[in-house]
Amino acid sequence: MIRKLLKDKVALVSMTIIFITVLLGIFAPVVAPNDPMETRIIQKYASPDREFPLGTDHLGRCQLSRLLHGIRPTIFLSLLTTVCTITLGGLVGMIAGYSKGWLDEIIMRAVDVMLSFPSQVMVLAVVGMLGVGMRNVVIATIAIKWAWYARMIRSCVKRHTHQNYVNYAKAVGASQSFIIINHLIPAVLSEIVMLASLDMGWVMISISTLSFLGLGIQPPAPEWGAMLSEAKNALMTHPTQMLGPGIALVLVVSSFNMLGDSLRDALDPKEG
Amino acid sequence: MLLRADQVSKSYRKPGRWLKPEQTTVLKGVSLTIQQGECVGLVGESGSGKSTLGRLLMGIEKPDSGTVYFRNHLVNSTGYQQVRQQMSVVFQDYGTSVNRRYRVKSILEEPLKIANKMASKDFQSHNIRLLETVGLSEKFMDRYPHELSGGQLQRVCIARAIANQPDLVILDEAISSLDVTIQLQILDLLVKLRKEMKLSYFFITHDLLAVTYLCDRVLFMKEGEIIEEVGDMKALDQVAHPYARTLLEAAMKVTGVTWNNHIQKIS
Repeated sequence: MIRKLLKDKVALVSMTIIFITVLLGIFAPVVAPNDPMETRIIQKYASPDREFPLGTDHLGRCQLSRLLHGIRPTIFLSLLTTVCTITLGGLVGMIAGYSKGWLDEIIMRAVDVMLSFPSQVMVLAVVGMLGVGMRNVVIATIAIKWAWYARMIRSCVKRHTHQNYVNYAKAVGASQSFIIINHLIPAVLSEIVMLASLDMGWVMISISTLSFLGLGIQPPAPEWGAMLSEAKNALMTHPTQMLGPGIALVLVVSSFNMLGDSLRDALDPKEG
Repeated sequence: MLLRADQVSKSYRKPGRWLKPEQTTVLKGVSLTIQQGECVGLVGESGSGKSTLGRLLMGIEKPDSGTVYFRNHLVNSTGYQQVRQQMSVVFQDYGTSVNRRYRVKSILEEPLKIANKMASKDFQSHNIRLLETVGLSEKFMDRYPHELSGGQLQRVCIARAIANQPDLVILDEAISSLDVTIQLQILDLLVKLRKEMKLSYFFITHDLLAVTYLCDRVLFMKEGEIIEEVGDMKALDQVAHPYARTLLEAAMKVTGVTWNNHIQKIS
């Protein structure tokens, strides 16, 4: 599987982009040329030069440093959110898919209710109730997205429990745990990995959107969505301000989406 | 007595009706026995409930009423797990019968791991022996299911079915999705295995010709009931029930020979 992934150029490029971004995020304090918080009001909207490679924003803060420091909340919080969502949704989905009967019905009707709300509106509502802040945004996103995963994973589990190879294992006396560990989890896991990498992009955009609206990360902390939001105020006078965080977002989000695509191909043993 | 089913019935809820469930009865009190070393055929058209009967005998599903005993143990009772490893199954659809993430060797090792009777260092030689038994070479060991042809994959399924020395193998339409020449090869393989390993077969099919090739006894099934039983294959043209006659005549039309000739030719 990994060999197949390495042969895929798109996957290779997107993995490289993600890997470099994550590295830069981890080592942001070392790599960044300036303090991302330090304001120099005289030098605001400076053009790129040696001291500020990408120029400065409306408070004279170094754009590049802010971009680098912004990787942490943007990517790591998305990662955290995705992992939590999948664990919760996966667990619920597995239980529903495997138990059948009334438990399945109850869980799935709850999921139906969750899914009948437009997700961004629900996030806004939850954040509105719990208050503004990054922690609440993460909680809200998890609360909305788990239902989606629960449904996907339930259908996956259901599809596989009716396959003959599971029937065979049952017929020759395999225990429930043997079937779950050896057949269901591997089957579900590959589906989850693909869903997750496709969904990472969505979560990143969602977190950035909320920060853009001023609900997520609070200024002056650097975050790509919040940076875009600040740049928006100077849209007419300094349109280049939006380029840095905008391009970074597009690049990383599309990398995750492409990686998801390639993973799906690589995880299907029938392909290639 | 190897396997005994007593008056088993099964009905399913029709799908899609959540509040007002409707039942469809699939099996209406079916009884049958299989002796040690015997090969019993079950013939019926699609939808007659023969695969459901197979699943009940395997213990994958529970009958609504009636009992199934395998080696004098009630199927699915406590302590049945050990006994059920002496039963095995080959399905019609070889594509879904194996986990497509597994290589052939993992497929063959699965029943051993479940039974937990063999040390894993012996797996390799055991696998080679199994593949040879079903007429495949060692080089298939590291292949994935989608890299095999239908006939080869069905051979792998048969190899897996005999991996832990079962007494009874349930063949649920095991040859129906193969083309005719391969069907004959698989039937020959089954005959050979039966001799070598003293297996009993419960052979579920809609193909009466295959039954005559393999079985000692044949049951005819229609709409969830066993309508006729023929104990001697030579007396197959004596069947009385109109439905069994229809099946028989249809089969004869295909071969273009009289039944007795056909029997003589193969035996």
